[in-house]
Amino acid sequence: MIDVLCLFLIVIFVPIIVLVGIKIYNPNSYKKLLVAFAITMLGIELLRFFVNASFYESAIVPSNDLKLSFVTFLCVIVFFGIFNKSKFGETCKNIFILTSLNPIIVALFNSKVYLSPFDNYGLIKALYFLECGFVVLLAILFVLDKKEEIKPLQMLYSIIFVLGYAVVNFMANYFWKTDIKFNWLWFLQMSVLIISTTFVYLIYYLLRKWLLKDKTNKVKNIDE
Amino acid sequence: MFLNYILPLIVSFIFVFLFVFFCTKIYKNQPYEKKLKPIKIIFYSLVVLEIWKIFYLIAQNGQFEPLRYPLVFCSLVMYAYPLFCFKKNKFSNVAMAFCVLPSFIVFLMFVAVQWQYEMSIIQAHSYYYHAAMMAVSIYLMTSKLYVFKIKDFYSVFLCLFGYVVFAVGLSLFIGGDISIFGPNKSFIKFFYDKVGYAIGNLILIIVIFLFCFGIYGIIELCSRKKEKYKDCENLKEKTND
Repeated sequence: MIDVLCLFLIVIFVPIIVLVGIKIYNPNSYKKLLVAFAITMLGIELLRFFVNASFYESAIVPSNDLKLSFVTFLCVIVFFGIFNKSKFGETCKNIFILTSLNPIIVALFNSKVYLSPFDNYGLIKALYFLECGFVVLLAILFVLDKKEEIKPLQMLYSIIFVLGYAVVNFMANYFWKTDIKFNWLWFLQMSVLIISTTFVYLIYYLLRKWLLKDKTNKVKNIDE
Repeated sequence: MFLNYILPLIVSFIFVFLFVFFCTKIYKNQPYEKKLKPIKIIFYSLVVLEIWKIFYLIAQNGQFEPLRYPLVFCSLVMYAYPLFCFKKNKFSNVAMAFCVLPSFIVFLMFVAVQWQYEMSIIQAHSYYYHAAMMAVSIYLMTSKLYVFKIKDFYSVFLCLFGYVVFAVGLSLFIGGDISIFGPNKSFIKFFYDKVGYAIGNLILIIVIFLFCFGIYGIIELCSRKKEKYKDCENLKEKTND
């Protein structure tokens, strides 16, 4: 229970702390910030792997301790979202926004993504929670930086992405013979992951409307 | 208890009061550079005492514990003094801000745990060290060298955040407890035991953020209210005229 509370606290406060800093220092563009935070997220992901490996002798990590989590996939697509200016890059950006809550859901359903028997200080857990916070932060920055609206079709791409993750997860668990069982809980987890994209879209839609209202009010005031 | 805790505390408070009172009075209408003179004296004394402490402890025990490195949370403010008390630069304001709030936190933490220790020469040094830090932080405010601005809270938070990361990293690499943020000999060990050491530090960073924001926010609100009141008074005077 306390783990869940800590997870939510970290996920809420990482974006708040960074956004307060952005509000105070008022940077000209979000591009550099996006790059910096994406690199930080990738760094944390690599660190998570190396810290896990360091717990084992000769750094040979058993297959059931390899953490190929949803956040690993997000670490890859975030760079396509930032640097690829084609339609594919834009889609990656949208997928990242719509699936930004998924690492939290994965953590809630399956604590094995961040637990290691040798991790006395809870370092891997902290790194994973921090990553969840960075994912939400990057999603907010993407939304703030975006000029075009996310269309409902993007939800479909996000669902395909989640299904892709489900297949990889299934294969990894099947071939590496991990402890994860393919029971109703696994299917429920994947279903919640898919539903959460709709939920995020709903939040985005409501916020976007509110943001646009604010912007048009400002323009009206300037015109007057 | 009286000789080990209450008396040294009373002496420390008297020192803080006398330092702040006389320095504020003497340097009231002096230029910026001259107002910094007492802080320079405190800084030199702290450096000399810190060097003496290291030699004394090594001579006494034949070893030097990680907690005694001058990298602990309490030593931090000492490193901020040279950033503003010699030459004004772009870090001066941040360094001053960093000397005010953390000094209060450090002093409170110091007072909270000292009752359990016997008085010794090292303890006397500790009392002087913390009282001097407190005195400087109050003097910075009374002499108006430092004025609270809400924007400063973020830089103070960033400095503290950087320090927590540094202390945690160093504690893990060296293996000892380099600061109060060390895993084993910590003031907040009960909290670390509950949530885990790494998560505990992340939560601590959030608490530091909220604390800095809260203090600066309250001060900002109070000063705004004061300004509003002053404006109202001026307007009343003008209408009366």
